Parts: sequence; structure tokens; C-alpha cells
Amino acid sequence: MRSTTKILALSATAALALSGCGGGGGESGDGSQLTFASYGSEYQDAQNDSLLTPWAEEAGVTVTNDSPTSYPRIAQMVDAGQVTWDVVDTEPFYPVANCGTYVEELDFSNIDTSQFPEGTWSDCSIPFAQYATIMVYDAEQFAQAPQDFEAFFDVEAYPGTRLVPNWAGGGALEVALLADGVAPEELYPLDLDRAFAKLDTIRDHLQFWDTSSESQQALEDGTVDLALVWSGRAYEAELNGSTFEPVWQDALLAWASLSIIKDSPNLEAAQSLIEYAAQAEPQARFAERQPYSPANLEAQPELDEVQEKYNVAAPEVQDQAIVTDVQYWADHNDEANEAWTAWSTS
Amino acid sequence: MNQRTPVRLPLALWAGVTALLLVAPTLVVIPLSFTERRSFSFPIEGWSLQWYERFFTDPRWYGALGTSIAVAIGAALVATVAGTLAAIALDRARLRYGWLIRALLLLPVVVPQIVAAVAIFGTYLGWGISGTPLGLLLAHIVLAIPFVVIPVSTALQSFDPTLERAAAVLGAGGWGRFWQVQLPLISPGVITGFVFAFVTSLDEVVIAYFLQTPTLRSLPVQMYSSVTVETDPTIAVASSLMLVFSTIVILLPRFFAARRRRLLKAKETP
Amino acid sequence: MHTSARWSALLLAPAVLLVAICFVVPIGSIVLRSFTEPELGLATYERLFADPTTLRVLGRTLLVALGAVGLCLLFGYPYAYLMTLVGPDMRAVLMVLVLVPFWTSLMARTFAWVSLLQRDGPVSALLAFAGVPGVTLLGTAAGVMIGMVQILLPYMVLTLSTTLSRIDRGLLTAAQSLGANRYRTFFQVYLPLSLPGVFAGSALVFILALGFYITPQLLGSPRESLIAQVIGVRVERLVDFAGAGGLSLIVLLTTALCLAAAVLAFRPVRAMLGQGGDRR
Repeated sequence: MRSTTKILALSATAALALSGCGGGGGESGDGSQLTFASYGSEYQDAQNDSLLTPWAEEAGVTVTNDSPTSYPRIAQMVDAGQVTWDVVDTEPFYPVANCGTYVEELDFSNIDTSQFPEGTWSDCSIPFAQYATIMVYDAEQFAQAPQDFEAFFDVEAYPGTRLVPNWAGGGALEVALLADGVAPEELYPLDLDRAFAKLDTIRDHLQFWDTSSESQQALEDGTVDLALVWSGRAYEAELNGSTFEPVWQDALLAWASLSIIKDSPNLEAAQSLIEYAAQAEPQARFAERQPYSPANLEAQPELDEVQEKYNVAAPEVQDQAIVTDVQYWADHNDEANEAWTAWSTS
Repeated sequence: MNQRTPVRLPLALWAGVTALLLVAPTLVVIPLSFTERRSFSFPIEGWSLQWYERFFTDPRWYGALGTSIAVAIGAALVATVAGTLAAIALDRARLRYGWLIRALLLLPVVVPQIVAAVAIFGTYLGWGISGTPLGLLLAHIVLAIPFVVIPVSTALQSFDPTLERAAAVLGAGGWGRFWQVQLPLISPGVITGFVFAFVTSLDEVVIAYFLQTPTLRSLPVQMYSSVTVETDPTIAVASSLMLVFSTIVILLPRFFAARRRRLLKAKETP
Repeated sequence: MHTSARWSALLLAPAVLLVAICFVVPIGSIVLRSFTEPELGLATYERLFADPTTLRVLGRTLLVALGAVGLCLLFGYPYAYLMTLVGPDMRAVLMVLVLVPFWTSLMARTFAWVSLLQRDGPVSALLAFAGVPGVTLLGTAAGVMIGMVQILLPYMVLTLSTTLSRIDRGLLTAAQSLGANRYRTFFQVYLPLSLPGVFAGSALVFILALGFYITPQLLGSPRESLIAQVIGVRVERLVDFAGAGGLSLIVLLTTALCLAAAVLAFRPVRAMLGQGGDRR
């Protein structure tokens, strides 16, 4: 389904060959240029300060930034033979699903993967920072702290509105199955029908978020009572005075994934950046700036009290957490999202 | 020329409700740009100029304002000229395939913008104009053309052709008839078209989102990017500033049109 | 009287070439993909129609668009009519009030509605004051409709006023002097003369409503999702260009069908109201 229309690609290649302008921006391959695409704003600024700028000084490369990461844009760049991005920050499933087609395989001879949590790296990607999808509850509302996801579905004991991410991979499906009694080790492959049936039991109490800023705003304004949010957003909300508290049991671990776009015009520089990003120091620097934790567990960021509270890399959190199965999501992203849209819009 | 008809109270009340609906969001946006808290909650609790400061010190924001205004003016001018000429041709020539051409010109409003965005991004990428000002300008021109064709066509439909015939009888040539008779009569439609076109470009976010680069980012894209990351009252600042600029751009032609009409009227009366 | 074909071709050329090259070519190529991927045939359409979401959301989108047209006429027609009755100063004020939303960024307006409609927001407070406590419109169909009508209303009013301002009120006086009462004059003389504007405004609002994306996303829940949002998921999450192209073709054909039906219905409506209106 995602394959290129060969004719289109061929004619595009032919046109390129004729016009003689290989590789997008025209700054091809001499190793002095690199374009980094990520999610923009403070997040990308922090990535620049902690990772790109130090690396660029060392390697003598000029870095251009672009944002936001967009899967259709990547597909069209690669399909048209006009790749202008080199290194990209994506969700974890993407490089696994598109390894060799839209992203390059990495050379792991200079990357130490032993410090990454199991399942967070792949042939085409390394984790740069980790976070978790967690349940938070309004501590002013509920004297008794909920212990696990069963509480999320118990509208008698914990009445009120629940906020969940509005896409299949957001975590609501996993949470529904765990609450329904599925053991963490038997979670994947997900039983979609069972998950939707469980979600239907609280459908009238559900609200949905599409962008993480919406979720943070809801926590700050107290317009919901329980929520499934990213740990970093719960942290930001707490800084802004929200009364929500995290529950770490069965937190769903996810991570910011770095990979190289297929046919990147600056492959060598891109590989060098990936190798640098895998190290502990840039990851520690990033964790001090943004509410994400290092994926390289050797990293020793200096964290304040609230940052420590939301530190996903802490051993006690890692012990209770569940690592999302990227291979499952790589294989079933389309199917699960179609099912999610069908369910959520009806 | 119009005889005054007395306005009944229910009509006035209903129009009042309509006016309130029209301006309600603006009444929120302007005070929101002066809020003290990083929040969209209303009413405002404390006041500050911090979001204005942020807007004018961050090149991402004021640069985007410049980009948007430049593209919107360019796109609206080209679309207004091209769209008006096309509407006139369609109205007068009675082409056999006129309906087909009309449908073609209306296509850009009918195609869902998200699809237009992906399609345009892919094709422009191949042409090497994705991420360039030219690419964004072309996309906004074609998007705005239907918004000119519709009101101009409507104005032409209610235009009395006997006037033109009279002008022809009096010896006015083709261009003379156009400039002196037809254009002034359809000018409300043309102005409406220009306003629609300008606003279409100024507010368009989905296509501009796909065609953006860090150096070419329109204001709505900057606003959208900003609020997907954090709650950011700077969008209220951006909107309040755009309000000022649009007021100037839109009121000026209206002002001149009104003055022209007054002058014409003065000439008519001996 | 007839302009030469060459002359009109020259007038048409800029607009037609611009739209054909810069718009139809890209759209054509993506729609083409819906017929060629994964292989030549209608597999994409079988897939889309097998998905229960497609027809359900398409139907909902049409209903919402019709509702928006109805509400825009309900608010917009009396308003545009009033604009023809008042003096030039009041008319200018009314015009500015219509343009104010245009001058306020669409994105900011949508967020303004979020703050107006949210839990314990001003609209809730107003409704509570009016004796209907505990109502939150954010995340409901009503909330989406309010936001959409506010955005679409200026298009309706401006299109209508272009037509209404040119109706000769002398005709009404004539009708009344011939013994028709106010209501008969309005329905038999004024309304038929205003129909081109009503039709153009309704068509514009209807078409624009079909493409709404950000407003229902922010003001509604997934249950209020419109077709553009479903296409958005196909593009952004599934990277399914063929499916997105196919869905757009379905939307295009549906729109064309609705407009054709409206044009056919329009003639009898006009005839029924007793006004030929054919100007040549």
C-alpha cells in the first residue's frame, strides 16, 4: 500500500537526472551539511543545545533545523527522490515499520546498545530520551489514590471524566486490556475487540486529546478527573499548579526515536550524529532541559525534586513499567488506527 | 435612491443577536492577548504585556506575520484580477463548456484541504518549489480564485445588460464600456472577492503547514505549531495584530471606493 | 453583443491555467493513485466502502453542512436585509461587524470558542443564569455548530448583501401601490429577486462546511468528526495516499451531486415563486 507508484518515481528521477540537480536543497553529500527534523518549539531548541550544537562544533558540520516531523512528508520526499531531511525524531514504531524503505539501516559498530532498555532500539533507530504514558488523577477530588488501571474503569469508586489520547497507539488500548485482566506479558498482540468492549463500558465518561498541549491544559484547568497522559506533560502541569498525581504501576514506556531518512544526502554526517546521540552526555543534558529521561541508563542528569518525581529512568519506575511492543505497532499501526477511527467516530 | 422602510423591532433584535455571534470570539481574543496567565481561561484575572513582548522578540513570530501579510496581499491581488476576468468571460461569452470551466475554477474550494495539502506538497516537491515563497503564493492564489469568481459572478448576474447596450449605443468602445460602466457596477462583488481572497490566504493553515520550512512559515502555521506544543496566548497577540493589519488593507479600498462613488455622484449632478 | 471567442479565451486564460497547473495536476495525481495502488483497479474504493467509518462520517458531514447552511440563512438573511434598509452610516457599522470575524484569525477564533464554551466558562454561566445550569457545550455537536456558523456567516452575509443591495426598492413600492400587502410584496417580489444571492451564499457555505477540519477537531469530540478529519488520519497516521485520494474523489462527487440537485431544484423554486428572472 505504501509502495511508490513506480511510474511517478521513475519520471521524477528522470526529470531530476535531466535537470542535473540531485538531492533536494542542492547541498549534497560533502559532509558539511545536515538537516535535522523534529517536533519544533522548546523541545527542538533543547535538542539543539544538548545534542546538535556540541556535535556540529566537533564534527564541523552546519545544521539546519526543520519541523514538524511528518510521515507523509517523509514518504513523499523519498518517493520523489528529493530527500531534504537527514536525521529525524519520530515515534518508536515508525523506524521499525519503515526500516529499509523510508529510513536507513544504522551501522551499530560504534554504538553501545547495552545501556538502552530492552526493546527500545532497532536496526534503524536509537532512543534519545524516554517518557511514559501514565494515569494521573486529581488528588483534590479523590482522597483514596487509585492503584492501577482498574480504577480508570471504575466509575463508581472514581466518578468523573476520563481523558485519553485519540489514536490507537496512544495507550488507551493497552490500558483497557490491562484493566480487563490481561497479564502484561500476554498483552501483545492486542485483542482489539476486547479492548474496545472494555472502553465502551466508560464511553460516556471519556474525553479525547489530540495534541499533548490539550492534555496538559485539561490537567491545569481541572476540566477532567482522571487522565492518560505523557509523563512530561504531567510534570509541566504540576509546575503550573495542577493538582494531579501520577500512578506509576504499569506505566507504558515510550521513547523519542532517532533515525536516518532513506537516501539521505549526508549519510556519513547523519551516522556520526546518531552515534553521538546514543552517548550518555547529550542525553543527560537534554533530560536537564526537558521533562524527558535519558534512554541511555548510564546518563547522570542533575535533576531537581519535581524532575526526579517524574524521572522515568529511575529503577523503581522501570521495574513497574511495560515497554510498548514496537514490533506489534510497526505491523499493526494501520489496522489498529482504522479500527480506532471506526470506534471513536461512532 | 432607496426609500426608507421602517425597521421593525424583531428584525433589529435578531440582527443584534447575529452581530453578537459574529463578534463574540473577537471580544475574547483581544483581552486574552493581555492576559497574565499562560491560559485561555476567560474572564481574565490579571493583565500583562508579556505575550506582546514575546511576539516582538521572537523572530519565529514576527517573521511569520511578515510572511503571511506578504503572501496574502500577493495572492489576493493576483486571484482578484484573474478571477474577475474569468468571471466576466464566463458571464458574457456563453461558452458551450462554460459550466465545465466554472466547475474547474471552483474545484479548489471543494477539494478537502488536507488532500490538497499532500497533493500540492508532493507535486511542488518534484517541481522544486515546495518550501519556497513562490510555491506558497501559487497555492494560495489558486485556493483564492474561487472566492473571487463566486461573488463577481453573483454581481454580474444581477447586472442589467441594457446599461451596457446603452453605453454601446452612445459610442463607448469595449474597454470604455468595461472600465466606465461594468467595473463600477460590479465593484462591490470584486471588493468582496478581494476580501474573501485575502482572508483565505491569511487564515489558511493546512496547505501552508505542509509547504513550510523554518524560514517560510505563515502566521497561522506558527500559531498552530505553537498551540500544539503548549497553551500559548501569543496566538491572541498574533490575531490582534492581524486584525489591525487586515483593517487597514480591507478598509483602504472601501474608503477609496466610497470616495470615488461620491465623486461620481458629484459629477452626475450638474 | 457577443464577445469573440478569442477575447474570452484571453480573459479566462490566467485563472484557468493557474488552477489547472497548480491545482488540478497535483490533485489529479493523488486521485490517480487511488486507482493504481496497490494495482490498477477499484481495490481502494472497495476498501473504503468496506470501512463503516466512510459512509457514516460522510453522511454526518452532509447533515452538518446542511445545518450550517440553514442556520447561516436564518441569521444571515435578516441581517443582510436589514443592511439594505438602514442609512449609510448604520450600514457601514453593520458591515464592519460582519468583517470583524474575518479580521480575527480563524485559529484564534476557534480557541476563543474553546474558552467561551468550556466547563464553567462564560456560556455555561450565561445558560445557568438563564435557568439551564450545568451545560458544557465544548465537545458537543452544538459547540461545533456554533463555531462553524460563526466562521461561515460572513460568507453568507457578504454574498447576500451583494445581491440585496442591488434590488430596486421601487419595485416593492410599486407592488404595494398595486395593493399587495407587506408580506406578499416580500415573498412574491423581493425574495425571488434575492434568490441568486441566496443560492450563491448557500452553495458557498455548504461547500466550505464540507471541508472543515480544525474547528470540529478542537470544539467537538470524535463523535462529531467530519470527513476531512477522517482523511487527515489517513494522511498523517496511515500515510495512505491512495485512500486519501479516493476519499477526496468521493467528497468531490458528492458535492457535485448535491450542487447539481440544488441547481435542478432551484429552477422550479424560482418558477413557483412566480418570477422568471431570466435576464436576456
